[in-house]
Amino acid sequence: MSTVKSIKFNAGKVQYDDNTHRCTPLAHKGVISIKANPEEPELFDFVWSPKGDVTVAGNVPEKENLLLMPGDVSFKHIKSCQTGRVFALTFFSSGAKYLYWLQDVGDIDQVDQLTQKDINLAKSVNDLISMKYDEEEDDEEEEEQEPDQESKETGEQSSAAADEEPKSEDSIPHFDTVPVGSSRLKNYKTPIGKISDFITLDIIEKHLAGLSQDQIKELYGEYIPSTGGDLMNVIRSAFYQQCTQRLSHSLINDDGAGWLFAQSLKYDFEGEGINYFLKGIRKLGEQEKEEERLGYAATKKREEEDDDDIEDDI
Amino acid sequence: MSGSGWNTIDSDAGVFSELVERLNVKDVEINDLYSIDSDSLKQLDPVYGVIFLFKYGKIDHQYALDGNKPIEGEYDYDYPIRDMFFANQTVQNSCATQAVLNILLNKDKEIDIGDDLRNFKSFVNGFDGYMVGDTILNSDIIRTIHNSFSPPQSLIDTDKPRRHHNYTNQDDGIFHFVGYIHNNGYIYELDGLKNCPIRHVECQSNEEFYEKLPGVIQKRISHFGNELRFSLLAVTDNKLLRAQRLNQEFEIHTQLMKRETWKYENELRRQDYTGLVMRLLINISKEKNDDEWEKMLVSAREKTIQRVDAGEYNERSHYLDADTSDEYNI
Repeated sequence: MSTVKSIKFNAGKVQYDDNTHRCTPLAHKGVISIKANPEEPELFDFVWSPKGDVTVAGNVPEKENLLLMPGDVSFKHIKSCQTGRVFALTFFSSGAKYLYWLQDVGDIDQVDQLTQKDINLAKSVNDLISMKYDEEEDDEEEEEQEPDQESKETGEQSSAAADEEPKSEDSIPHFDTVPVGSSRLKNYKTPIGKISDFITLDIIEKHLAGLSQDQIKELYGEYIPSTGGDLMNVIRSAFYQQCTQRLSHSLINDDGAGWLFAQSLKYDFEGEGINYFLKGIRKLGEQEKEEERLGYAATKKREEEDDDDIEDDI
Repeated sequence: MSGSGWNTIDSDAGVFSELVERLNVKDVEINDLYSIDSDSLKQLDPVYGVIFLFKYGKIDHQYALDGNKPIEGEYDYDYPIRDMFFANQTVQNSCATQAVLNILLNKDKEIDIGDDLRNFKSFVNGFDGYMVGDTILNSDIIRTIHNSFSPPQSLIDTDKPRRHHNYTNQDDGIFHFVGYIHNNGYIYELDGLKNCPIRHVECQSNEEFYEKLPGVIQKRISHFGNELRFSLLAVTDNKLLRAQRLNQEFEIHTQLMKRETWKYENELRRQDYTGLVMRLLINISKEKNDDEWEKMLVSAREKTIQRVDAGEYNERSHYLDADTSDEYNI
């Protein structure tokens, strides 16, 4: 499957002042290009470069080189800015935010209104930098066929957007298709923010519903209140919810909680964060399952041996 | 959690009621006050004092910086002459217990505060508010009971320094408890962060307290602007004992139910559920094959992305919406 994807459009930088919290659009004309990184095709190079002769013009903003990991960034229109069409490129992992203003001609009367072209552009960028999980490999075939059709619609837009820029193979746009290989899913993962997003009340309820009262007592007895009541009520209570919140908070704050868990639960520590914590949990689960299987096999073998002994005795 | 620390405790009637009972105070409980009006107070008669919980906001901080002036009312520096008890808050997170003690130890003529608190009060007699506060801080019995309402958090380091707080009204931050009583012919506000008791309006009786207190608190609330996060608790007699004395069958049943809920919630409150989360995760993992587990991960990631889009994790995300930079919180 081809992984050549790129987008180019005209945009200027917006300077953000940390002290005054003011955003100042910089007048210098520029162009943004987003294309697959030649060494790591799953990542994208995001480059803002000034247009024109940078050696002559004074106060030219610096070129900006960013590396985007699909799933870790968003590209969103800042609706509160009413003097132009400003977009924010936000990195989820670091919280870093970069602002740009679209420099192609928009609506003259309502300068903050996005044109259809802008909307298409935003969608294209977002499609390129986001991960689509559900389609995965099933859609690979379809995707390979779609680009031609897509590029017909969007090619015009792209060439208009990046006017005099030379065209190369790499810049042929086909915005609505995203190469979603399983390798990308495995290698680049958006962090999970909350444990309760992972084991939701629904999932827990289904798990408990599959257990008998005796099994619940055996597995979770110490958490059933002495005053009686259902374990599910405990899990729905604010007290349990606060606990998962605290746990999630500690894990994502990179304050060593992940390492402590790995030490106390005895799994190999690979990193901080909920993703690694769940990886450790998964390993523990597999380990327990294996131990139970071996334990069961050993018991069965013992029983068989006992039976043989009895038969021998007879 | 260091051994000498004070944990945050919930502002809950059940927590405070068990707290005063465990301090051996007789025939006293704490009840929720759902509205600030005379009728609500009268229904709970006798009300020994009212605990007011509110978000410590910008205005509180401004007054604190401006010579720690009271927002309403005036300081009564002569309170020791009037035989009033007052403890300053000298440690974070102790304000709930402090507010309860400030009320109870001023009402020892009306209620039996028990030997522990009687001894404590006679020990601190003649101390200034800060020394009294320090004595509370160093009282093992009071701290242990206070801390017993939060679960042990062995794995999570809560001693980490918190980020600087700028006391804006927007963020979720510090909540503070103050007590209101009537004493020596006035309604007094007992705020551990202020210099001494604050005198408000004249008040000679419980009835007058019920009539006038709502006005005093309303005035205080009027300074909050749009901030609506506050709650009120009334320090009253034990309503179950009262119903039993009066042989009010229905009321006995109601009060027993209330106490059952308190007991249940306090038990839950004390439990650390980290182990439960672990066991659930491991046991659910054992039930899922790799595909199902991966699907759960994907779904969790999508929820996280939705939260990020909604600005939940990004403190900077609202800066473009705020025209006034002073509202900006970093």
